[in-house]
Amino acid sequence: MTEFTYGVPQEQDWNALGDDEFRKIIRTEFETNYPQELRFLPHRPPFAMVADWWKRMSARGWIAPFWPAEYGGMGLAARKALIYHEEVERWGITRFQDHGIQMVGPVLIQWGTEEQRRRYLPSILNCENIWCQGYSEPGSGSDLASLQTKAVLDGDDFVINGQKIWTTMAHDASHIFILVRTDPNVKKQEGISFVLADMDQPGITVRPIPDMSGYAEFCEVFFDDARTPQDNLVGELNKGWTVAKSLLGFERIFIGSPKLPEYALEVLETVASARGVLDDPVFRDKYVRLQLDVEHLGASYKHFADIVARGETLGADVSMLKVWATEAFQKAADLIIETAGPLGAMKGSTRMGNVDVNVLAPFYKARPATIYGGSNEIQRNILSKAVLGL
Amino acid sequence: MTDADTLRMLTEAAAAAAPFDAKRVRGWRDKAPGFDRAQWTVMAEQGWLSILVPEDLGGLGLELDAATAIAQVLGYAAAPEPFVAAGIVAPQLLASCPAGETRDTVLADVISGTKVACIAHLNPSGELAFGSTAVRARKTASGYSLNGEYRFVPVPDADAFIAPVVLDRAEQGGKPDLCQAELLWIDAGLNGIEVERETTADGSAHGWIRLTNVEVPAAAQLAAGDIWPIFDAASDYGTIGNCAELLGNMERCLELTLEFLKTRSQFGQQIGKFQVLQHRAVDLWMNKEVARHALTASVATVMAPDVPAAARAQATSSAKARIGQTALHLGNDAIQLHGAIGFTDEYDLALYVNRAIAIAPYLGNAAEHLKRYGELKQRRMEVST
Repeated sequence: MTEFTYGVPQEQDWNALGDDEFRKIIRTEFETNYPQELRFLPHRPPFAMVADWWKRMSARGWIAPFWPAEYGGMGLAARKALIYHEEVERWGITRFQDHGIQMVGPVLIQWGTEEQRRRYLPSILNCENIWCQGYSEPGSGSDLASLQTKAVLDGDDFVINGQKIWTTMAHDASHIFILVRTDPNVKKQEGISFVLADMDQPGITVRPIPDMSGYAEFCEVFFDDARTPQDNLVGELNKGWTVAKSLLGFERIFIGSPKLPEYALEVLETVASARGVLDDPVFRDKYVRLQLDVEHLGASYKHFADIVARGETLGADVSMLKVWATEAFQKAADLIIETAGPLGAMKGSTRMGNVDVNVLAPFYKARPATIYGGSNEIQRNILSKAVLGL
Repeated sequence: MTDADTLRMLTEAAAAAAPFDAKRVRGWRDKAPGFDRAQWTVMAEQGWLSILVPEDLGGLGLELDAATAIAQVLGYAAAPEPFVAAGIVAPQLLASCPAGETRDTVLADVISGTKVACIAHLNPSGELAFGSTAVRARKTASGYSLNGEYRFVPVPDADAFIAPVVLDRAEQGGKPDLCQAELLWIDAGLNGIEVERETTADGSAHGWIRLTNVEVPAAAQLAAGDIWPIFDAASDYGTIGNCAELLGNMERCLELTLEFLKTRSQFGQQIGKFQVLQHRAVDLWMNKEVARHALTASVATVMAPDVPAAARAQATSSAKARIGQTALHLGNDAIQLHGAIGFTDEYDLALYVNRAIAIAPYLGNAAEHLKRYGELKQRRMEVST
């Protein structure tokens, strides 16, 4: 067997460093080299806009912080992974390739064949391939397992027909991983498979869907006799639900991080200061309650982060973080609009006192947050069943 | 930080020594002294009344997280004993006073349970009773002469009240000087003290204490000068203890509610199968969990060595602003999820909800602490920028 090398070698064993030392190295890199104008972008940028930064991360071997070092990742243990993520959020570094780095890599490392890993992981690490996630369908949102997009074997290929929707950044992606129905005659979760496909083919059509902010982050993806080789099946046939569910690791706590509500509070303070209401009692009452909500989100986040740092498994109760974080984020975004007065109507960056503020950016970021990643109603269903036993 | 094993042992011992006993809780309602002195002795024997008192002063010398563990168990049991007021605040304050014959004697009495004491510091409007607004203290040849009123004293039948007083210097033409205060041990049996019991929601009572030419001996002085740092610290510790008691109360309210949702059947099914009730139950649980994590974070800040007073105060108010509000909301929603039975006196939920209502205002309710939190946070942000 020949030795195969993924990505670039790591500079050192990060996990051997002290937490503060590690944080300092990460922070220095981000603060020194991440372009100022790309901090806290209101939208996910197209890859071309952030390519230089991610290629830099790729060259340094930092693009996949949570992958094992043997596969070209930084190999960060949970505690260091949290620190890395905190620094990313603290500096407002844009998300990139969530789906290649966060989903495809870990799935292939856990479930893929050696051949699949060699084929796909290097091109994720060097930014050559950009991945998107084909899960939701027009008729399958919260009830994802009811999905209808079909894959049928034809010789060595799967032939795929159907439609995906809310596929984030599909128009910027070269590849897609999809959940497809491969057996319609069994319990809905047991007839689903996890397959990878190249988007550059006539059978796949992408139509971006502009959202209410006027920007298109998500898309419809149509499959009309699209083809993908049979060896792009990940895991066993009809075991795709298990593969997809296995991705719910410690990353579940990221969606409940306090950083976005903290960022909204900063915008709020800027707006309140420009409008001269920081000492207005009506404003202060709402503002202080929100500060308290965000502070206690931080306290709750720390509880779960400590569990992760101890190397223990998160329970279903972690769903509360997503609910609390996204609802606090929305409250802050709404209060920004209210506090902005007439400026609350302005689209894009607007002059306020002596600063430019994008008043609606937090609103458009916060509004879908209670819907994606399992809507907050679904999270409450989970908590009710798994934690409260109702 | 107290290690996890010690905390678990304390919690288990407390749960065994102070289990919920509905008959006992109901029995002390509307009946002086409102709690069981025999149980108070048990608590003293367990060491709870001296839990924060340093070992060289005869205490257990544990930290604040140990005291909150006990308070939480007592909250869970809806115990009527005034642990926070007389088992945390009073011993903590006494232990912080300079050593002296009176201090040493009364501290020993308080932690052995032979004397029950609590602080008296509010005037009839609920404002701080210092300076010119309430109790007037005058120096005499033999000690002090006090006139005025204290209200909202949490243990009306206490053996003594610990009161901060500011000497009235009007006769010398001077204004009261808050930096020249004195902390006095006022024996409840002194002539001129009249105590009116004002019943609170849970059937216990607050004391309205009227002092008419009360002659307090000079030896009753526990501390003098700038007494506020130790007074504020004890007060913050008490607020944290109060949060823990409310948290225990919430835990039980939620348990009762979940048990009810799982057993009560309507329209041919358990009512806990209705999604609207499930989501409300989740919100109760989630708010309780956030309150719990908030308390953990605040306790860690408050008990950190050399924590600055402003940071301690902010962390304390942060916890109380959260928990004071959450506890009352949780009680309200628990009643609603039960339906009519939740509003009856005979169902135990009422004992918990009324207890939460009665203790939530102690040392400042959620709104007062929200205000203090906001002010401290703003002030500290200004300092740091």
